[in-house]
Amino acid sequence: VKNLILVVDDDDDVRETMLMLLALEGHRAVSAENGKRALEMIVAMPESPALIFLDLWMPVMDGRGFLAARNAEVNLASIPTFLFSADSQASKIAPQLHATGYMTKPVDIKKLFAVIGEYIPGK
Amino acid sequence: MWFGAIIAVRTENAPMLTKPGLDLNLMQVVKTQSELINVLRELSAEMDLNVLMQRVVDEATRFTEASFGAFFHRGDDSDASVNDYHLSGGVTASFDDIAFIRRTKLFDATLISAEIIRLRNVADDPRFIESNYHQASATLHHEQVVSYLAVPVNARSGGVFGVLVFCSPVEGHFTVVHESIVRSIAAQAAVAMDNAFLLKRAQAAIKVRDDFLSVAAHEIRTPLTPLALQLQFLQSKIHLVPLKEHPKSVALKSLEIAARQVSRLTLLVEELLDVSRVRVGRLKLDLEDMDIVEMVNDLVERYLVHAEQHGNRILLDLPDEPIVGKFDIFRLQQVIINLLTNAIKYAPGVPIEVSVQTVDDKVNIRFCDYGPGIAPEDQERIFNRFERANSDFKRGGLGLGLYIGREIVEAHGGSISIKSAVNKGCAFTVTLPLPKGHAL
Repeated sequence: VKNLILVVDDDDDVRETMLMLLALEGHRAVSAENGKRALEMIVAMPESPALIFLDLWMPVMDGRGFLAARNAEVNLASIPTFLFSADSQASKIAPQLHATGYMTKPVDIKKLFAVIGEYIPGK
Repeated sequence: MWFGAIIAVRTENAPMLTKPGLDLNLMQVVKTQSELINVLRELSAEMDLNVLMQRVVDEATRFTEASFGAFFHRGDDSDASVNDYHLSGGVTASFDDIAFIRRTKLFDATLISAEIIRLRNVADDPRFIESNYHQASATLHHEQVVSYLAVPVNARSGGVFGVLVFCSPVEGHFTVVHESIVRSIAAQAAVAMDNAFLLKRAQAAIKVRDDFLSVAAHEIRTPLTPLALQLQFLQSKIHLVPLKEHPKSVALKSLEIAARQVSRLTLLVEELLDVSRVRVGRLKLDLEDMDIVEMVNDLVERYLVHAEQHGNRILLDLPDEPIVGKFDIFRLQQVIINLLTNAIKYAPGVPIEVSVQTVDDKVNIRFCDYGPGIAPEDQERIFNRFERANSDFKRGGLGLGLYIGREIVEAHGGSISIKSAVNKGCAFTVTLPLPKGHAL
């Protein structure tokens, strides 16, 4: 069963908080600090993630770069990917980049777990 | 503004009616004047620079019945040499090379000395063909360029925005009436251009501010994310007594992360407040004797781990002796931390050299990285409020560090300088004054 969550964000505290809360709620989660690192991790992983939360503004490779790479690769394009950004244009940017959806930071914990509930089979 | 223009036309044109040899009758003069007033009024309302300049040259060409007209102008930057021109609408292919005129000494007389020039025949004026370089062109085009009229468009700042030039193959085509009309149009064009430039600058400033606000909102929302999540998490679990499912250590960790976000938000707010303090001149320094060498050493030590995480090795070159001066420790630390973290942020993975050196009664604190560098055109801009070298390059932070840093250093009587070449690296030097006999 696919249930791994990938958090891609350059902010250390955002990553730490997401991993902590996801683990406490019984989810398996890993994180990457930029799009390039996330792609490398996905390739190296034995299983592809069931859900990705993707920050937009990151050094090395930003959210746009990651989505362009994801959209171009058949195996990756099917991974549900939510923009997870503090950019007030996230709602406009998400459909342009063919993201599955978006969450604007700061996110509400109930909404966060509602999205997770949709994509991760119930425990 | 057109009121002044009417007077000018009237007073200068009226005597012309009595002079023999002019084929303008009274009706025509009145018609021309009323048309001119309408055109001047329309020009004053035009805010688009390109449209304005094209309109100016077209209308002036029409009024003077020139074979062609051109507006050679300096564009947006009044210090630049003439870099662009608008030709009158009906220009035929044979005038395509007309731009050669701007390279004659005749043209320079109007551009540089703001001289109005009206010639029966350009060949009469040695300045037209004086320069050897242009002699060929001048001879070639002499067929089209016989009579000549040039009027400067003077900027309010005193310089010349550009030059309106009109030519005709007919000898003696341009009359004093034509000259007067073009002067009126040029005066109106100058006012309208001033306004259009101001508008353009104001719009650019608004865009910079808007961009900054979106960056600031982003930077504030980022720490708000873990803060809100941790608090909501604690809130949802607080009713579970005892906290069996989530032990105390988890709650403590959660609070620790939340508290860290409050510190981050506080720093952001402080930075924003610094900008307003600097703007209203309320940046107060709390000066006391301190050793620069010790301070730089301590700060570099504090950021060693941070640098290592980004692949930076810091090479420290400090004198053995302390260097003591009167500084605001907190403010100076702010400057040093900004320069150090900038180097780590923008030049990850390369060595960073930090050195402190005295030169006469000054101390230089230098931060040198071998990263991507900063293009010459961006080197001054990055010290402006809300600016960073590449606005598409979102690397966190408000982009205020260098602006505040320069203000702090200048408040100490010092300066910050930058030396950089693209792909070679970047060196920032903070120079601060020292009291005489500073060495302990």
